[in-house]
Amino acid sequence: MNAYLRLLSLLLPVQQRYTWLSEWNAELWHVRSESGWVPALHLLRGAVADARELRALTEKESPAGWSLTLPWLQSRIWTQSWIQPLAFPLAMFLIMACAAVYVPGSRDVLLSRSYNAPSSIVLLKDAEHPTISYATYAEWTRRRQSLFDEFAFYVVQKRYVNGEHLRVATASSNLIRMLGLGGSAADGMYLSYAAAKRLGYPSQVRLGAKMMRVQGMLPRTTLQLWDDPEAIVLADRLPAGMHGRVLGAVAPGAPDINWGFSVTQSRLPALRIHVTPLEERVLMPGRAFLFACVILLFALAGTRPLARGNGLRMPMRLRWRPAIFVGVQVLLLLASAYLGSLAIAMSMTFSRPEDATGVQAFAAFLLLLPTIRLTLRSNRHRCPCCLRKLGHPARVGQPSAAFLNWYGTELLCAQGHGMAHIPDMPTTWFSEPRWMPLDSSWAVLFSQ
Amino acid sequence: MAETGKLSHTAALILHAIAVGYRYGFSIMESTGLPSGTVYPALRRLEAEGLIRSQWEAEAIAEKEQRPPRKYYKTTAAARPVLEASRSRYPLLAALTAPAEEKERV
Repeated sequence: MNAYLRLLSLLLPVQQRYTWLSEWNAELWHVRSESGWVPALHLLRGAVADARELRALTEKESPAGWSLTLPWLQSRIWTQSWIQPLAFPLAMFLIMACAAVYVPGSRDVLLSRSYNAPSSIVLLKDAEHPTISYATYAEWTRRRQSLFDEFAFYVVQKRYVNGEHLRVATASSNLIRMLGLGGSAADGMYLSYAAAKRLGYPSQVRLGAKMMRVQGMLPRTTLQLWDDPEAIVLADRLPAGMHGRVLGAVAPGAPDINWGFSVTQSRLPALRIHVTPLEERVLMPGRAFLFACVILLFALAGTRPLARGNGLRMPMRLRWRPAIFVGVQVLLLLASAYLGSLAIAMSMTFSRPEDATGVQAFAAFLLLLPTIRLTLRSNRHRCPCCLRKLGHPARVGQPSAAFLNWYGTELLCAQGHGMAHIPDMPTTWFSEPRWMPLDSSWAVLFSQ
Repeated sequence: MAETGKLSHTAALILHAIAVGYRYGFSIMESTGLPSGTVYPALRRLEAEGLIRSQWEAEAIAEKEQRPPRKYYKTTAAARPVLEASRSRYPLLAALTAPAEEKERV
């Protein structure tokens, strides 16, 4: 409570802050001790209005003389009609951007290049054992295949790279190409984003006794291979007794193998293979967010209708300004929701990044639905000229006389730009709100 | 100073509450049923218009009772004609605010 009051006191001139704080702290202390926390919280709701009133009174008393510590607050820009509605989405954007940069996983996603996994690549796992032997893999590559175009094999071991203990995958030479991360196989090492950062972005590394050239960086945060390799070394041949992981590139037109399949072996029992599409283990924040946006479109229409009066009927020349204004707010909210949902997803699923997609879509939806609705609602009745909220509502007519006369509410722009007529009981001849611009002859009424 | 005829109903209600003995913001809120966001800014306006005067409680009293000093409000002489005019303009004003108990009067 005290922190909130201190924050509000920044709205006031320096010389009045201490008195204002003492006054509110005293009131809160008394209310809290006499009536409890709930009335104290109710009381606190008035602090904003009081601070604004005091500021306005001080401004009135000495228009040129009073000053605030925060120069941007005291500037006249703050009083411009379009700044305050933009303040909420802008503040939200800044908070979410800070959160996205602060959470390590989301920061890596934002900084590293995005990776779209080829939809044909699947991870293959024996139902009995987590790994498949290199000999079995070699036999598969020799056989004529109807389901797969090719296979890749890798095995992850902890090894020292430039003195750092990393999970290094020794892989068949086609792995990088199959993953869509590079062209032809090149001798050398591929480092993950985090490992490259840890080693100081080297061009050459020492793996055991051998010096190797660093061929490229892998998008580790978005590519989740099993055993989470931090570096990949390509090799033409591996020892036959090695057990590792196998990836397959599903042939075009192959039958659906998402439920797995059996592989017969000579003189050995058949292998039951489980299949996991690589796409499921790759975080694609853009797709998750897009999915949330599509659901949002349905939800916006499906939740309580935005009521009559959404968008005034007005001449075309006046329409672009409110539309751009709402568009900027919505864009800021979309960007905030993207960053915020990414930060939430990565902080909640840090140990299992493959689960982040669902969490991100859900978080984005939860962030977007209330904020977009709030923005659309708050922009319903705005003057198209100065973008101020229309006020001074006046009820016109009677519901019983709606047959012969119109019945509804008139809203007025305080600057005298015009009036909005909003029918409370739509008729065939007056069903949508209308905007009536006032010409300069009315200016005398709005001189104050 | 505010012109007698121009005091709004809310401002008149708050002024009346102070006149009948409610001395600080929260008691005015409770007696009038108005929210804090209305009462406290209105008190500022009434004070700026010279209809009420605020006074901090003596430090010694607050210290003796081990609590922070409170700000009390009192109507000024200038408020009397305004109140009279408001009461005739809003006849239900007195009915809306019961006089404060003696303890409240301080």
